[in-house]
Amino acid sequence: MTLKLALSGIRGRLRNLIVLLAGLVVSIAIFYMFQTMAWNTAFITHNAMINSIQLVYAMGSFLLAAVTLFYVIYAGGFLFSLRQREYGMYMTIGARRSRVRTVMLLEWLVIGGAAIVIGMALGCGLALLVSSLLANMLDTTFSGYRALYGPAVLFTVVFYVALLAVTALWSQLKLGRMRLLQLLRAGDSAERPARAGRGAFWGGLLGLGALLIGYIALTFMEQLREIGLLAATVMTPLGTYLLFMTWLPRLVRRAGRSDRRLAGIRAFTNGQLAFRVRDLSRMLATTALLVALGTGAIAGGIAFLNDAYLKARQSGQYDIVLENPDPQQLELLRAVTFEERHELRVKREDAVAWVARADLEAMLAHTPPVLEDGTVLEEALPGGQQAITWTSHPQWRQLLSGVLPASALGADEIRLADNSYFGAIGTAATTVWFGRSDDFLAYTDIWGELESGRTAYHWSKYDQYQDNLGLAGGTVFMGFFLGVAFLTMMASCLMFKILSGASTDARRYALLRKLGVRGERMRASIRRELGYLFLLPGAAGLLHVLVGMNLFAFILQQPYYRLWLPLLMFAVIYGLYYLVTVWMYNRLALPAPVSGDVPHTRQTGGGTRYPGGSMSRN
Amino acid sequence: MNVSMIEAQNVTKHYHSGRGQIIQVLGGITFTMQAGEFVGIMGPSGSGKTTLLNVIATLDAPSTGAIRIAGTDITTLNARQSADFRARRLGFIFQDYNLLDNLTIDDNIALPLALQHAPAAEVKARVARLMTEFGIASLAGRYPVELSGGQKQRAAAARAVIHKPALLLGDEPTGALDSHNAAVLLEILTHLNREGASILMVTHDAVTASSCNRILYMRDGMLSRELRRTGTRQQFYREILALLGEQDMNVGTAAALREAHP
Repeated sequence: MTLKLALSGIRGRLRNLIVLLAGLVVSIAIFYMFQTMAWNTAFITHNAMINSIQLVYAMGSFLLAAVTLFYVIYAGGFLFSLRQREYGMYMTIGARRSRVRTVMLLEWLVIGGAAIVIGMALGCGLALLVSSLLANMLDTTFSGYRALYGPAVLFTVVFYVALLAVTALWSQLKLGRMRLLQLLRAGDSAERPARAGRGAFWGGLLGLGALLIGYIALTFMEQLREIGLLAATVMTPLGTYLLFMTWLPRLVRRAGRSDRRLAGIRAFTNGQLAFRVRDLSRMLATTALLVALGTGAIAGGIAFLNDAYLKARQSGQYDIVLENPDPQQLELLRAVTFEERHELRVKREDAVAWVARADLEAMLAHTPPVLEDGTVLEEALPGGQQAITWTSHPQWRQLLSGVLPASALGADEIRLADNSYFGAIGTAATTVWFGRSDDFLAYTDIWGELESGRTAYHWSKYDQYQDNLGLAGGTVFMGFFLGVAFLTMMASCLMFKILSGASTDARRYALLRKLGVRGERMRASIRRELGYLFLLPGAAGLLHVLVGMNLFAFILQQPYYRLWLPLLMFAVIYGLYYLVTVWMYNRLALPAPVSGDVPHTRQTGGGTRYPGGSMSRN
Repeated sequence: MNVSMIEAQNVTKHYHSGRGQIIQVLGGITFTMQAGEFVGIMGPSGSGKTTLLNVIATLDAPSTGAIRIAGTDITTLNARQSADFRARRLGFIFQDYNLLDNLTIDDNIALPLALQHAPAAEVKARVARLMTEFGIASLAGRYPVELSGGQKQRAAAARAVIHKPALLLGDEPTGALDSHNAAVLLEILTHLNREGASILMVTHDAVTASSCNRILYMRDGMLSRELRRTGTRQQFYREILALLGEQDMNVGTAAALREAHP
């Protein structure tokens, strides 16, 4: 009988439970994906560009675990709020509290078990998909990374079983504390928005101060070092929480107090917002911080990638250097628009490497000789056929070494020859082909093809680029994982917190319907209300990111370069969650549209329906 | 003035049960209510009172039959039109007040007007006037949870009339009130009725019913009796009690007869 009750409970609310299940599945999948990285220490240390990457992962795991805990508790609360009245009813008709407890536990077990199985499968699939997609995108392989990773599987399962147990226990305690009447009257809230006192004002001011200190620490991280890191980590969240808890409710109430609020459904929406915002303020602050961390992680990862691009773009090296390019290579080169290209003829005669002076001068006319330290060489090009050696002209010798072909390596001296003398030298000439295209990054495929099979002795620009990309790739991968994990967890958290209030709101909307509010206006009100609840933490989180990207200034050239890309990614994920939440909320809170063929819920008798079916109207 | 407020023609309502049976809730109701009347619907539970009220309130559609309210045929309205109709022409008072707990009392009262985008100044003035009239002016800015039942119901009454509806509908409006607060509310309703409001309410309480001009008594989805007030309220109250007693007797007799002749 107990099992039957539990199963019937699940069937009865299948639609809502599917949401809950989906939320849990996503959470497990994401958590697992993250763990495949966190436990694979060999992989992360190998791919990291930051020494303390292990620390980052430990922190990340901890944060994600904390968020997950809240998430599962919210999810449990959501389930509890859906079933409260029913539990109360079981108890009214004489079911013992212990019986109801067992029913609850069974329900939670069925849902939790299903979520773990589906979630792990999805997690493996996602990990495989994301890693191969990213590897493709970045042109590298993540050697050592495994989508199905034993320790990660074990940890995730153990962690979730523990979490579900804690949540079940928490619900049981909640049920134990609640009296029968409270259960039956679930949702008849007795709370009202507290009026903000003087304390709220000073609290907000304090929060603003803390936030400013945090922002200053983020901006001047290079100078402040450890103190800055500590100040930013403590002060930014502190400021965010204080501001959200003190000033936000005031702001919402004040905004609702204007005369415009009296117009239309807005009156209801504003009342609804003012009513909920206090209850939600801590959740919203948490969301803002997670938005900041998640988007920050993605943005940080992508910033490293962009840095590789930027370095390639800004490098003074020639895009391509070829020796005696064959017709096939020349054909490939036709596809490239060059801004600058040169040919340098070189002949090797015993210990002397002869360079055609005219070619060299043409090159130098275009690109002045820049030394390794970035300064332009002042010394004039040695005249006549002077021997250029490491002792006579060390700086020219060094510069020329960089452009000579393999055949000229190991020559004791380099001499410059005019065209007639050069032509008379009896050995075969090697032509070194130099090119600078209009956009190095546009032709990376061609560079790769041109340089394939080359016996490298020069560290080419393409090599450098590949190397940077490989290093950044690991960071991007990790940042992306971390970021997506945070964002989805955060957005689901917010979603469940909001949805768990939907059942109480249902009565409000039912009343609005009776008062003659059209369905679309109620939907508009919900869109607006939830819009604010998503927008506020979203905007605050993005502000944190905008300031926080300064953090990378010491390691990246331009941390803000192409920042719109991760921000857009965030906006898309967040926007999707918003839409899903609105959709779910509409289904949970709005009364069925009153058309001729929808059974109407009887007003008296506590929501019992007329015996099924539809009614006809002729 | 003899304008009809409600014209119900042979209204029926049935539901299909899951097993293909048809459950008849309203079995062909015909009645007319004139503008300015104060009509009470009485009857045992399950007699269809609330369903009739829901159908008149456009919250539920009748299966067959026609209903005109203030000249509008409400059976042909779609969901949107019926919402607008409720918003403009109807006022509601419910047994459990149905105030929105997330709005202050003043905002609750203002809501029907606000939903019609009335000018803010006008809304404020009317809210203030009604709150004074109904003796709840001192409660401005409070939330429903801070009010007593009587205060809540007066606020609900203010909300029901702020947009000057053509018809005021009540579903057991005094059902949750003590006798003192019930009396206050009935006084308010009577006062509104004297000023021209048409009121239709469902009640099972004889005292409440005695403030009406006319009682429609329902049984098994049909109108079985009608009672018109001719004398004082006291007399009408006794007539209602007599009617209720007689109906109870009938039920008792019928049951006894069924037992005697199975």
